[in-house]
Amino acid sequence: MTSRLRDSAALEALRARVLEARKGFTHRVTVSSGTCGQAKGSGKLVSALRSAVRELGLEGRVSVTASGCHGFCDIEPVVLVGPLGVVYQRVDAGRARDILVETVQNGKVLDDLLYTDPRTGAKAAGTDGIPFYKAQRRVLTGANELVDPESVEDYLALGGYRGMAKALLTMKPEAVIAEVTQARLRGRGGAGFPTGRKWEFCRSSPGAVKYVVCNADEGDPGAYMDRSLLEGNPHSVIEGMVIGAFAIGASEGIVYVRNEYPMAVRNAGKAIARARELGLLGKDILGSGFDFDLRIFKGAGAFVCGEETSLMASIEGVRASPRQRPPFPAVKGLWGKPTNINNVETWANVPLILDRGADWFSGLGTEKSGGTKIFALVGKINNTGLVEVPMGLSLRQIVQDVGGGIKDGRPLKAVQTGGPSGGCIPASMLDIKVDYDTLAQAGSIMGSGGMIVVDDTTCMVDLANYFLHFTQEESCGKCVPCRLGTRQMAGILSRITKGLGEEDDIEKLESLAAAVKAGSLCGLGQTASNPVLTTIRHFRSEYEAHIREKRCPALVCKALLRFTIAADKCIACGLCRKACPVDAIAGKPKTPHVIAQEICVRCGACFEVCPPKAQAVVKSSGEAAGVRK
Amino acid sequence: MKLVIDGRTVSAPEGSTVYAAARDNGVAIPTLCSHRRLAPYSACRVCLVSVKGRPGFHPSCSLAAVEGMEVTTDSAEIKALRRQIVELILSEHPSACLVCLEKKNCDEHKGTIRKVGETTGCVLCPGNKECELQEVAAKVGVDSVRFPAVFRDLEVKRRDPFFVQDYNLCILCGRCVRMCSEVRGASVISFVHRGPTAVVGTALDRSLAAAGCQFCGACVDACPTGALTERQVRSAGPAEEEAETLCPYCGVGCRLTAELRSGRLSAAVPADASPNEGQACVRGRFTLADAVNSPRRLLSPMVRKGGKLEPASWDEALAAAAEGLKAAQGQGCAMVLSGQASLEDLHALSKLGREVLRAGSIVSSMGPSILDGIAASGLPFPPAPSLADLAKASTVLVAGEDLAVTHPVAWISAFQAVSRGGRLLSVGSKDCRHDRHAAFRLKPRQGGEEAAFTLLAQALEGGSLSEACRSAGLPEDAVRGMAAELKADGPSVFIVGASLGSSKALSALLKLAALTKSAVLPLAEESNTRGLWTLLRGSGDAHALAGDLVAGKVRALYLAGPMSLPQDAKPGFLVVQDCFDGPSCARADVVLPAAAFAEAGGTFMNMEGRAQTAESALPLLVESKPDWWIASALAAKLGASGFGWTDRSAVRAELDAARVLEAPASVPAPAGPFAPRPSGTDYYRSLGLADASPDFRALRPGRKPSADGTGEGAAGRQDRVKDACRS
Repeated sequence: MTSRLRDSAALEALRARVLEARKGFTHRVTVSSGTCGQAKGSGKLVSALRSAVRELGLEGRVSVTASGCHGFCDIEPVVLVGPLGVVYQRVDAGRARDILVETVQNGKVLDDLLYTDPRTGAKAAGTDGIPFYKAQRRVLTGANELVDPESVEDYLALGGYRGMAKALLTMKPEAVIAEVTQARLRGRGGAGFPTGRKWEFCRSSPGAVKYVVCNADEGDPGAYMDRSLLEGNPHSVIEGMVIGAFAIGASEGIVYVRNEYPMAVRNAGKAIARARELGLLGKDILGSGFDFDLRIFKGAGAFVCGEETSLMASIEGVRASPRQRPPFPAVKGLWGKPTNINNVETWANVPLILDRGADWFSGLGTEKSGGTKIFALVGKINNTGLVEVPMGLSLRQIVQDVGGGIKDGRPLKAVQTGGPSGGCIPASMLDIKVDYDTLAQAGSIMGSGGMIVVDDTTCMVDLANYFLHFTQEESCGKCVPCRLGTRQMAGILSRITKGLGEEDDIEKLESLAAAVKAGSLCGLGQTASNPVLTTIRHFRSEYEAHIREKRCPALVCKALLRFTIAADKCIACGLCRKACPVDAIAGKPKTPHVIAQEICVRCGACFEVCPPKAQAVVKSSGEAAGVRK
Repeated sequence: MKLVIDGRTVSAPEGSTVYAAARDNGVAIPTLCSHRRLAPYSACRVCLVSVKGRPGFHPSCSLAAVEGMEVTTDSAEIKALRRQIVELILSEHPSACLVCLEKKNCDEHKGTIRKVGETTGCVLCPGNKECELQEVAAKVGVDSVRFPAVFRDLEVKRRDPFFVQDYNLCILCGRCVRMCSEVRGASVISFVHRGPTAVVGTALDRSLAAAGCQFCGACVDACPTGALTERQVRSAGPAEEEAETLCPYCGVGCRLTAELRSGRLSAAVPADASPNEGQACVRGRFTLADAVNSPRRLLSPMVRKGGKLEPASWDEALAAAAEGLKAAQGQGCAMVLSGQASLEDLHALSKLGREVLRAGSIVSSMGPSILDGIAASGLPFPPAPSLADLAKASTVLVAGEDLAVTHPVAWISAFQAVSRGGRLLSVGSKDCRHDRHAAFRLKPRQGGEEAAFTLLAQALEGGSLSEACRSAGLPEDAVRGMAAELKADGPSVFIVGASLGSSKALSALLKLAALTKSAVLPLAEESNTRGLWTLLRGSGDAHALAGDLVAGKVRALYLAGPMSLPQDAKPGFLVVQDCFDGPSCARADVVLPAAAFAEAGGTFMNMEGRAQTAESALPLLVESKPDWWIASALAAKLGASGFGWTDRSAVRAELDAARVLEAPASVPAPAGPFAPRPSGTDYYRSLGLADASPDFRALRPGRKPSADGTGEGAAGRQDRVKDACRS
């Protein structure tokens, strides 16, 4: 146990000791052990590796680290063997000894554990060879591969707390803000407000007591970059918050993290305790005279709690409903005091800016937004996972290069960015550069970074319907347009997907969407219309097909489907008859089968089981297919 | 400050909102969620306006007016948006009353339309003609609803007393929720669930009563639709006439609007005037009609003939009373008055007692009040602060009284002080509702209040406390913390009521108040406690009278206040003058029916020392007469002169001429030793409210009406008299 670090010399001395102690190690085996890794059995794998190290007498020479998530969800659990840079995918605990004996001791790569590029069939030994990693710029997430979240030493070894020491001991708060402003860091939580300006507002607000808050209430369906950072590298968030608090003049900070992220709660809690032990939090940090402490507040998991004013209400112990701004939190926030709220990713960027300089950071991005952005790339894509790319990369590069293209080689239809608050960007606009402004121009938002890729088997009306039902349920219920407007929109969308759409429904939706956007109190309502508006804008014909022809072009909306069996193709195998849950299919051996439409519930079971060589079951939609108007 | 609203330059005070600036300049922006007493909430979005140079729309209720701002409140765009929002509200609120083709006929002939389906219609609507939603919809110009109706199908909650909660009609404006937390400091209700299922409710869906509701009715009065409606009004229908009146129960003296139907009091709602500013409590809000219309009202004079009380004419009854009293004129004659009678009545009666009956003692039916207690301490009488002063105090110390139950409207002012950043200090041996708002709380043992106040005084002077704190069983840090609060700058108010431990405790409290230069607000128990105390000026000792009654020293007793006589009392010739038939009537020789407050009107002096006059709001009930009239007629029968008033104002003029009500030059002598008593004015004259209203009985389950039907108020007082006899 190290005692409190009283000045920067003590910090550097500790860092030197840590680095010195590591010199004896020849190899470092890292297992991606985020929530997804653990779900795939990384815990067992880590234990197996550790016992194998003991058995083989490699202690003191080979270390085994359970790190945060490495981002490539598809191939968990991932093992990284350093310093060789060899990546093994989908590793079973039984292979622990093999890895140590073959790779670590004998320097041989285990071919069967290597990643194979599905497009080229080539095996890749290191991250450089894996397109998913190669096209990224893992400035933030890269640390997850090198840091045990419970070890402040690992973080120090990477240069951790150097930015903080620099800010606290050599800079004035104004200079820190200037640095962040110059770096062109913008809020990663969604709206992209310039972080330096936000800090400046809070700093210039009168008040002796100020707060900084870390918003880790990540609630977008399919977004998990904040969880991954807080789980994998909590010290980076702590360091960022200390720097921000110093710049703003706050002496207390709160990490608001949803309780559904138990590992993030645990790791952040341990990291805070450890930082406090070392004097990196608390009174007179590193002898700078600056006092700051952090605590964790566990949120009970409402989407609206991610909205700043709701989040504050939640911390204050009242119902999490937003309130009208102004006054802004920077003026009147938590308990009426000036408060600055940034999300996890924003805070995690701050130490890098201070350590490596604003120019380095802004150089990573575009003219208006510096740095990288982490996206949760999900949907009908080959490489599902967390990806970090520089601002300004085109959507096509993200989807094709990082994401490895669409599953099963199907055509890309659209990309939904920003989750339920965002909009969809059609394939035709795939070359737009991804940053705050261009996405906003396209009618979507960056949001916290959810990126859902859809192909031609996704119905856009159904997609809008899904998101509207989500926002409707997650609306806090306070203001009328959000509570009732989203409900009416969801009602109309449901109707359309059921083939009950009416001629003026699109106009009704547009008018409601405009009212909800213009009239709602907080960001949740103001952006809830985006999925509807963008799908109408780019896929109007799909709406019209549903409404006028009672046809779902993507063959998704159940009520508009019809399953039939092509008599000339049917081989009378009887599989469909056996699979049908409602006995709608009649047929005898050697006789083509027939689906009784009045009994059919359109579950698609027959379609699924029909042998590929026959492909006799036909899924169709629309009047031509006989769907009743 | 000048700003432009719809092209017109208007001025507004600094710090005002755009909504207020518009309203004050004759531009009525429609709104549903904002309320005069509540902080801006910006939920209904009906009051949206646009501002030049700022994108989008802004709710005017929370938008600060700024010099030179150019506001548009009625552009076509805003109107369309507003209409759409109101239409959305109406999509889940029965709206047939707005869009029905037969609306006009219906409005003329019926309060509500009751021929349409449940989902769209107003079968559920109480039709109390107090629907702000209806007004806003008309103003915004909604004549059809384009959206399909959504019926929430929520169970109508009838499990609580006094009012019905039908959240199918709720528009979630949050006024009730905010009233409960922001104004009343109770926070019994909140929103529960979210999204389309969001609804107002209590924690764990308990009944309001179980959740600690005191049924002040503030939520009902704030509701802009019919979601919360008073049960009585729901069944009886809306008011036909209204009249201003005063609440007769406790010493706050709330101004109320009496609602009349068929010449009878059907309900009473708080008036938007000082001192109560639109607020009331369960007693004033929900029990007045039951009390005034009680079947126990005395309707005719009665005289005992052959051992039995028989109805008689006024002339006959007055003659009988005069005869009996004449025989006992002088020292052996005693008079008991009620602190719930008006100054005019009390003046007339006490003049009768002093000048004509030459009564040996004239006392309050409640015995010595808190004011007598303060007088008895011998310390200088501190001036009473007003409730407005209390609301501005930076320190409020409540001594022992469960303020939110006994004097809920005074609590509102104390809570206002707390909401403004004032510090609440609570000292008392019993747990009180306000404790959760207290910055410091001292809980001495029963009877240990004196020690607590003495300790606080010592802490102010400095020095060691640990020994004294240990023996008093009080934590030293809390004592020191509270003392530090008392030392802090800013106005400080002590609130003290009749339940404070003892006269010694009261003295210790007054010394502490003097030491900290704090104002003292004595919680008068009855609507005219202060007036009665000023008029009586120590003209009798209730304890001594009780003793004399038992000892048989009283030859005639004029009971114009609800004193329950001890069983072994020998009152001699007994005249009972009351509004209600009570246990004393059974022993009376003559019973004289008095008019109730709303019928007689009169002037009452509340606990702030404010004299408030109410005119008669109701016709006299059958044979009942105002107390002053009875005194005057009886004096005439007794051959006295100087009682020939023709109306109440003549009595008042006489009272004013005598300058009795002006600040007394010297503190009146106390009316005997002050003794603590349970507080809460759950009675009107001899009627216990639990007897008058079954709903009230449900609210105070601990206090069952007594078996003989005397009501708990009277029974409580009986105990007090007994206690007094023993002491």
